[in-house]
Amino acid sequence: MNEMLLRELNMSSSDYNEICRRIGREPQIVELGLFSAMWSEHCSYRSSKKYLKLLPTQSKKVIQGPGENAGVIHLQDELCLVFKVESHNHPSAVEPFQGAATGVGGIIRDIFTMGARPIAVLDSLSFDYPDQARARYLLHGVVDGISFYGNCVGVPNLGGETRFDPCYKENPLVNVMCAGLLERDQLRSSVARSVGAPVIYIGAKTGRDGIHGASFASGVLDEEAKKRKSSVQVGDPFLEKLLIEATLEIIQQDLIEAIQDMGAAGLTSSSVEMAGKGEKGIELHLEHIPLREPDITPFEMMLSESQERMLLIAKPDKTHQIKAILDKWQLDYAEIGHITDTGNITLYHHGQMLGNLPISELLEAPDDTVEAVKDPASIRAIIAPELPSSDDWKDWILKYASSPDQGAKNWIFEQYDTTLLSNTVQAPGYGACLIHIKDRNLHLGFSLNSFGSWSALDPMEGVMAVLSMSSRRLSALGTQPVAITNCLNFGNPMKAHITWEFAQTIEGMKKWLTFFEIPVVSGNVSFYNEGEQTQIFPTPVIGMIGQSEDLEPLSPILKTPDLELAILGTTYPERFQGQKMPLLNLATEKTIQEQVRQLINDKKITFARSIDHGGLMRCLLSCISGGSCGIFIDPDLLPLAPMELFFSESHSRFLIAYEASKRSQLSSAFPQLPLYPIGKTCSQELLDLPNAKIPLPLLRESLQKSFSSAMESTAGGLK
Amino acid sequence: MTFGVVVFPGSNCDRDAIYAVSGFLGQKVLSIWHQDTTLPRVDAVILPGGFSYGDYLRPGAIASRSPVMKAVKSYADKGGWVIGICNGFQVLVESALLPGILLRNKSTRFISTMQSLLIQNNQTPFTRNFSIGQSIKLPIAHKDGNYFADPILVEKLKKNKQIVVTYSENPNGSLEDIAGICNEQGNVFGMMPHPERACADWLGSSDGLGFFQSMLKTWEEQS
Repeated sequence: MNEMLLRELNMSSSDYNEICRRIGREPQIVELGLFSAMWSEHCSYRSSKKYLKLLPTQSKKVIQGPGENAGVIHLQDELCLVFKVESHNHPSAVEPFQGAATGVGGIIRDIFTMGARPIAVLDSLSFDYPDQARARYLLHGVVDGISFYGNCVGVPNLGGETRFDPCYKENPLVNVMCAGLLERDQLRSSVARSVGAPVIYIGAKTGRDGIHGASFASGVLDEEAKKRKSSVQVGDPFLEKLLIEATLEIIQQDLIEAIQDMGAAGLTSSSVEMAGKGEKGIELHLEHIPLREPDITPFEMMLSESQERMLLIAKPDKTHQIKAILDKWQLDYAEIGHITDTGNITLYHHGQMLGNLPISELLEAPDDTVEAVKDPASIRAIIAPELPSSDDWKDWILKYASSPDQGAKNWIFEQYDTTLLSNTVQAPGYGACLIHIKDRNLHLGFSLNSFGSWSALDPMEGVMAVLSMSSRRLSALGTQPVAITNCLNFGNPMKAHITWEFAQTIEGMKKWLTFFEIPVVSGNVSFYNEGEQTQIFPTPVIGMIGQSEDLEPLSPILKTPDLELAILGTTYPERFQGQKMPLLNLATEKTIQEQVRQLINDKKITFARSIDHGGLMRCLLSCISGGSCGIFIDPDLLPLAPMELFFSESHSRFLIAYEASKRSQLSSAFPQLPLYPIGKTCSQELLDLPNAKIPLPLLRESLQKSFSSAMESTAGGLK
Repeated sequence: MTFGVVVFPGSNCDRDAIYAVSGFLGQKVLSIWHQDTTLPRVDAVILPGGFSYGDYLRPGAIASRSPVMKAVKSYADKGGWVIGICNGFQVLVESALLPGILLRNKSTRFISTMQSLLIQNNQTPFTRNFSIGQSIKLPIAHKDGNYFADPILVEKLKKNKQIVVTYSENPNGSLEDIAGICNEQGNVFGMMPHPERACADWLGSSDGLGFFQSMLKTWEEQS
């Protein structure tokens, strides 16, 4: 076989030999294309599935765990939530606008494919610092792409996170999560069941964009890879909006037995997976596929990743009704084949058979797991910023507030429609968001978080710390964490220490989820996140769902003076620095979260905010950014030396506020409550700390402008 | 009272508009499809926000030439109430049911924030429940909301009190801080902010409900 072709397909010669062995002959060209897509890391999870199996995926809320287009949990009565997070890192590194836009489009399709109406998008973005021209160029493009696609397709963007580190210089991370609401009887699967059932292609015409996208995402981003801009798809959110409406209408009228979007590896993966899940075969006649250009080859048709396309398996005698709905929404469609009992995918083009392969072989990529070996040299110690002296630290605080890490990210989320669908109670900017489901006694919290530098130091402890932070943020809203989705961003899995990082992350996740009795219901693995000089931190991104009934939401900002401020939870003199992580005690974490939720539900406190990395100092700054009253920290109350208290990064803590007269009620509710009053809110526009009195307008200006002015800078050009 | 909400391909605030007048206001509501050539019996028409026809060409341009807009024009010509929100305002301007144009925001970016607005005219059926100079809060979410008109038209708008709502702090470069205007007769009203997304305190503001309540009150007095 042609070496050049194999390289272009990102396929090893050992895989090629394995294919020949399994099918007992040399594959035809189109067949080789099918194998290259289905056996790519992106589609087959060949390096990760052995580990993913270890994660807990069940609870009494779980209706659909991993393995479908997205996970499903039960909420209330017949109402369910469908959600998943996915990466679009490689495309965004090469073509940030379309890379991010189609990332949004792809994850939204995964949600409505299940029969759910999408109601929320969140995104986790990791980049180099915006003082770097290329980072700004990428971030401008990515934010513009998310804004372009998400706003038009009509799904509100409710937040997420933005993180900066030079390790994301060549390989930024763009992870997008989507959630949708589903009435249980509308749930559809991707399992083809009936022999003879027609296969209907709907949506965009097939073009040459995105060919080899799945194999592109399964290699490192070197110079050669960056030239593969044609591997990046082009999105049309208007078409996707029509697809949402048409698909949901088709599902409501019960006209199909299976459905899948054409995502990674396009028509190949959708047809192979649907037939494979039902242990059936599928026969396709490629000349019927709607094409953008007449000379597209069958090979390209099977591997195109043109966006906004779906594959349906119709119920018997329902094709007329399906076509009427598609006509109403002015969508292209074509009947391109049918389900068979052969167990094979059989491809014809104008009567000529171009391929006939056993689906089971396409779905069973050889296991590729490398033995996990820890490499102490790969552990990256983090140097935390030097602390100020406590006698005069006003200037230090102002400088700290003006770094892009601390600065408010309004420049980003004000480009996203956050109020569409009229569910938004707490919009982006507060670590987690809250929505209310109208006509129901139901609130949902969403968070999407990572913290790569924790995992770089200790992947097992790191992911547990991220899970703790995510759940704390949901608990601070008064919602109980009920399920997660994850996007696991790592380097090249052929390296033993990367596999070790991955295995440790899975181990940590398993330990935490088991203890908290929270399942993972969907997710995505993104390997090969490395460039020629840089390698990303192991970065597990966690999307978590919180649920509450009978919730009276707290205000996300401090706005009432004369409330007592306290730390709930014990502070130890520990910082995340060098070779040391703050100690996480799972039992303590669980208890304190239960307590804060109880205090919110009993209306004993009026404000709660999770204290995370950066400690109390960072937490106070985030309260000031959007707040409308001052803060006085009483030096006589502090349980630790000021610098230890303000910069400790102990887990399991909240900053809370309540009427001072209610303090005894708090303690009586929980006799062992670790409550440490530290000051109060005040009407003066002042952050009044020991040895530093800072006017709030000054501080707010630093917080509000630091990031936006960095983004508007043209130093060093934009590219 | 019965409201009609027009649904174009790409409309995405239609469900919010429907819920605002049915769920929050408690009135009847009908969906009107963009290919319909006649309107059902309704007491007011809402053109909702979104990206009708993908905003291809210009926001609102293709929708203004859709079959349903012929029916909406003749409905408005007979004095029927039409309110266009966000993309609906853009459709009204493109249909020449309202004067002037909406340019790209001054920042060239999409802007999604809560805005303080001032009521400038409370003599329309859409604003009579407010007082003149009243400050209200509504969210905006648009990329092309920068209202522009030539000086002669601006003078005319002022003279006829067609400037109905203005921004307290101009977010998008709009001339005269214009957020919403009505036609000379006062029965067609367009605004960039979203009243339908601000009908309950838990949404951050309930001021938007005032527009729909104004219409209901006027309708009740007239019928």
